[in-house]
Amino acid sequence: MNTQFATALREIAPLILEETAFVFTDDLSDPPPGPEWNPIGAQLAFKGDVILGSLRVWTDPKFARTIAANMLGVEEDDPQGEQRASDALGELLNIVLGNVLTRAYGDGPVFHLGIPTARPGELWPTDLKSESFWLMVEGFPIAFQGDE
Amino acid sequence: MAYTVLLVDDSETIRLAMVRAFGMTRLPMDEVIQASDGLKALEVLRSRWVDMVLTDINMPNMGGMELVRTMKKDAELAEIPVAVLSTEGSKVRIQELKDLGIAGYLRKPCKPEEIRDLLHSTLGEWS
Repeated sequence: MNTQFATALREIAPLILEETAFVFTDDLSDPPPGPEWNPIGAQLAFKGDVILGSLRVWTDPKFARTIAANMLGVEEDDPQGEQRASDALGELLNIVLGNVLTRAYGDGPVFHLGIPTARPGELWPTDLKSESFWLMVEGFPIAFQGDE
Repeated sequence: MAYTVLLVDDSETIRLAMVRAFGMTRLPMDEVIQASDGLKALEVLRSRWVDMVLTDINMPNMGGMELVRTMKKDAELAEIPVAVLSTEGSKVRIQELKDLGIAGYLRKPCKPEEIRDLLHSTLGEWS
């Protein structure tokens, strides 16, 4: 990630998680150690006059259900949370990216955003350390990975 | 008087969250109709009366910009107020939407009171 984009992402992602999913985050300087996880993810491409790329988000499926439940205002064990976990993660990514682009490049440029697509866990890259941004939310890691 | 609003967003989570937000505004809502893209919204608009459209921009099949353009060219739909709810932050794009005649713009994420104020300003006063 370039510095502008990475700085904006670090500022915006926690705020969007708080405002959209009503959760508070802690920074993680490194990917969390421990057992392998089987995350779910979402990806969203963008294109502007001077930059193009994509942003991905990865997290534990249980936390994706929490995001969905909180956005919907239902209990965490409500089936709606599980049914819409992937959709909610994609929409969270959409909101984060839209706001990150404005923070990073101002409100002058026009960016075309694609449609969020689900990323199954088997596409989880093994080495994200140098190009990802990690947060810990309610005991679950969440990673943002940008290419631009 | 209660209102019928057409909510257009490809995310079902957002649509359901917005329906919930509409309820929190305590506005007199008759019905919130949902559509997942601009094409489905046009199907609704050509078969049902709605007082207002609230649409996202980035959607598959037909996005919000094209929906607004299509509505404004159609004599039967042109007068229906359209507001936009999106992550869009570009002044150029927002001005383009205003030039098309949208009634209001909200940026995601937004609070229920912002939605209430948008509906209030778009649909008019009520008690």
